[in-house]
Amino acid sequence: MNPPSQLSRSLRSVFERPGEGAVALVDDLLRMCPDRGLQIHWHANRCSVRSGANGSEDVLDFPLRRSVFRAILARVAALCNERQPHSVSPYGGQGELVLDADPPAVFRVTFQNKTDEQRLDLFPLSTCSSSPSGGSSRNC
Amino acid sequence: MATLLHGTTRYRAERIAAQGPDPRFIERGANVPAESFSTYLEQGPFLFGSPQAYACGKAADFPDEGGAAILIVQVPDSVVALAVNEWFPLSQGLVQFDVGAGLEELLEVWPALRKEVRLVDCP
Repeated sequence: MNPPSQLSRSLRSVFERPGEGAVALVDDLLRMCPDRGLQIHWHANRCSVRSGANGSEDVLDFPLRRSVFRAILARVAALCNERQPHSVSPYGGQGELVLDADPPAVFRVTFQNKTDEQRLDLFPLSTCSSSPSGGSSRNC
Repeated sequence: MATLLHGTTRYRAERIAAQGPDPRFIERGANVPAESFSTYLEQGPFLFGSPQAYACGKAADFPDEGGAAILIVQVPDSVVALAVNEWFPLSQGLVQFDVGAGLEELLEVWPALRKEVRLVDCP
C-alpha cells in the first residue's frame, strides 16, 4: 500500500504528463489505486482525489478540464461493459472492470458522468489468479 | 476529410446539424452548459464506448426527444487536428472539440459541412 505522500506524487505525475492520452491514464490510475480505494470528484475546473473510508484522506487537488475527466469516466464505463456487456450506461452506474496487468486485477467502480456531476469511486476487489486457492485472488 | 460520429437523441442531432454544436446548450434538468462537443472517428477505435451506446443512453434519459440518433459529419482534417492534444491523440478514436481546442474553428466551417442524421435501434 502506498503511503499518502507517495500516492499523491504518483497521481500528480500521471495527470501532469498524460503522454499517451486518457486511455493510458485510466490504466495508470488503476495500477496506482491503493487497497483502500480512491474517490475522485470534479467540480469547477478542479479535480479532487480522496482515499480511505468515506474519502477521509485528502490525496490531491489540481486543475483539470472537465472534458478530460469526462473522458476518463467514459473509458471506465467502456471497461465495465467489456467485462459485462450493458452493465453500465455511459452516463453512470455501478460495475466491475478488469485491469489487464500481470496479474490482472478486478475493481468495483461507481461513477456519474452527466453534465452536472462527474465523480468516480474506485475500489480494488482482488487480483486474478489461475488458482482459486491463493489468498484474496480469484478467477476472473 | 474525416467522418465523425456523435451519438445523441434525434431532436438534438437535427438541431446540431442545422445550427452547429452549441457549447452554451444546457440539458433539461442540468445547471451547467455542455461546453464541448465529443465525436468519434467513423473507423474507431471506440475505446470510450460506442456512439450507439451514447445515443441509446441519451434517448433513454430523454424519451420525448425522438429516439436515438447518430449525427454524421464530414470535417476537414485541418480542423480535426486542432482538437488533438496530449489527452486526446487521434489513436484513441475520440475527437474532442473544446473551447480553445478546435470548437471555434469547427463552428466557423459548420454551415458548409456535409451532415447526415441516422436513426439508431436500441436494444
